[in-house]
Amino acid sequence: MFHYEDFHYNFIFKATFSLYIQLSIFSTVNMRSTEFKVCLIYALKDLTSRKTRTAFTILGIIVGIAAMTSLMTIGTGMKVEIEREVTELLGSSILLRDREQSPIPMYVAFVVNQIPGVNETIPLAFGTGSTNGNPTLIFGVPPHRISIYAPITAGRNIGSDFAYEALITTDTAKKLKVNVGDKVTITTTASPTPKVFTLVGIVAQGSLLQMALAGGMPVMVVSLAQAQQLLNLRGSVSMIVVRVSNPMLINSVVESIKEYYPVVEVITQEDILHTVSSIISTINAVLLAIASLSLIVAALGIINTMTMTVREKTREIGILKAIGAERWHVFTIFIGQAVVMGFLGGIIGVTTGFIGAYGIIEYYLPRMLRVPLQIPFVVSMDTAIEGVILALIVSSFSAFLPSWKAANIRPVEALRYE
Amino acid sequence: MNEIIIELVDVKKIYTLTKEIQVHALRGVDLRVSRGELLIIMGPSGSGKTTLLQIIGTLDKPTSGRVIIDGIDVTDFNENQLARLRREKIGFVFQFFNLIPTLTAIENVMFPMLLAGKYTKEEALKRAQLLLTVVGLEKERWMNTPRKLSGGQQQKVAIARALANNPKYVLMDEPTGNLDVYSSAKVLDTVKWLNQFYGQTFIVVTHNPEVAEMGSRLIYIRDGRIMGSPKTLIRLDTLQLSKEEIKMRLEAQLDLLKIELSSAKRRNAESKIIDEIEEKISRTEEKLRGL
Repeated sequence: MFHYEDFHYNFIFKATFSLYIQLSIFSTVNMRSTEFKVCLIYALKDLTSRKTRTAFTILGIIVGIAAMTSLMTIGTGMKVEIEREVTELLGSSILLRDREQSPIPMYVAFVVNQIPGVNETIPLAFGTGSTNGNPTLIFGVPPHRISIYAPITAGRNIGSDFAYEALITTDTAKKLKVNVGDKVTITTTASPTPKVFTLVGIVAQGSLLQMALAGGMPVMVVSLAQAQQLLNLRGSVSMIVVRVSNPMLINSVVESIKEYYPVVEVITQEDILHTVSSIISTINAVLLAIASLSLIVAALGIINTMTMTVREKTREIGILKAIGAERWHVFTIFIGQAVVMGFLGGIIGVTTGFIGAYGIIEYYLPRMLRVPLQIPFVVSMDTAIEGVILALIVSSFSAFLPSWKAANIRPVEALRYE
Repeated sequence: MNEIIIELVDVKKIYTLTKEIQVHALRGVDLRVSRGELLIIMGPSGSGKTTLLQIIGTLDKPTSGRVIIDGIDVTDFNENQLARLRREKIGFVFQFFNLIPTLTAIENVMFPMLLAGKYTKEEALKRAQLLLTVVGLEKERWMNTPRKLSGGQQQKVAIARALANNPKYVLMDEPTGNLDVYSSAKVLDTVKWLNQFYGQTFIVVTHNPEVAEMGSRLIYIRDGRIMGSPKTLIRLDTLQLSKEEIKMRLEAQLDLLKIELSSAKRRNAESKIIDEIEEKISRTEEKLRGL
């Protein structure tokens, strides 16, 4: 879905751009270069003689282009980051879970383990509970598997399956104001009697994925057996991670699993990437639509300015024509002003957009989402060029009609005009 | 020498205001203008003289009749062809100067040259400097925009601009209409000098008898027709003004010149300027005595 839209968007964009280029080449061929230069200089002098009006028109373009650029930069960065985390975490693994989200019997893991091509299966149990009275996601993993997915950055791993020991993420530690060595009490609806766990270590966990799983909730990692007890999942698990020895075998493994356990839902890395991408591109599309509104407002601003300028300059256009300016000279003078404003607005807008995106990625998003996001900030040349071209297209298209009107003013009427 | 550069053949112009109301601005005008003439077109308001000027200037097209300029029938030219014709063969000077406000004096003169593409930028600059010298604009004013120039200075720039592409003829619409006596005299002197020295053809529409005096030929237009085109110049007394009116105007003119003279003396103006004014005063006094 995303790729299709991407293609569609690019296609329209490139088609418009090539039309624009063709038009400019056509008109340049028709003009002798000195005349063209003279008209452009005239246009520039005109613009600088109305500094305030020009500045505000350019500002309109800047706002529109900056909004587009920053949203595109953030959107691309977010997509790249999520894809990276999913790929890193999942690799050539597949996930099994029940279609209705109910627990899967533990033995499924053992059976799936026997399928050719499966390296190992890791059962996971998770659910909500509370730690020291705060809502928490309780995450049960076989202790010897934890380090594969989340490196332990401080303290040590959980000693055994039945130890009352827990690991927390850096973020959770901060949120609950606890540290390694502290004791915490965990309760769940299935096990209301408080159980005391000792925090033995801190794990680093992909922040975006944590956000996706827990919705920003604190995460408490315990052994699988403890989680099963806390969440009342005896003999069952929430999800099974199946590690396949070779990515080429994923499809055949998926086939076999589906054959044995049709009730089980199989999620591959591709599925997740696909879902994530389509969600992000939908959000991006909505945001871009809002940003394009500001571009429409900028276009209206240009139409307004140019129409006013042409009206004010009716007499001047008459003089120009009397002293020998042809239609395209007048047209060039006015469309030239719009192109100059579009170009300046585009360049400044793209720059402002990148600065804005940097600010949002570095300072605003982490605070708003309360997770340490590491969205990469990339200054994409493509985005920059597209931004400038978009500004040029918007400005020259909106100035087209006023300029055309100006070009067609008859000298007699213009000289009579007071 | 007697080369015809403008020929109008039975030119009519009808403005249709509504279905019922039609204004016959020109009712069949035949006119020939030779190279080197300084033709004055006079006539009351609404007589059609502005329309005639616009048709001679190819700014407007006749409803019927032919317009032949420099041997070419331009009646059916399209707008761009006319624009090219104007910038190569016709110069314009308007009552309200009509300089381009964003360009400096010298740029205003250069603009039509660069638009015509006949000259390089350097040539255009040199020509513009020479033209401004010819029309007598002080060098320190050349880089000024029109806003920083007086009316007379602006009109000088306008004349220089009209001459930019070495036109076949220059059209002037009330060239002194917005100028004081002194500036008017300067501008008219320039025109006369250009006509006599360079043989530059001028066609001037005016109300002002002072302007009319300098012409080599005068035509009087009334109600869309050329009323008379005598070989010799029509003098003030042959204009359709009563003796009292002429007397009143001449007296006013004399007063204006006297004020001008005292002001020039106060400013320690050049003796040449003072002489000019004194000469004008004696001329006006002579005319007054002749009444």
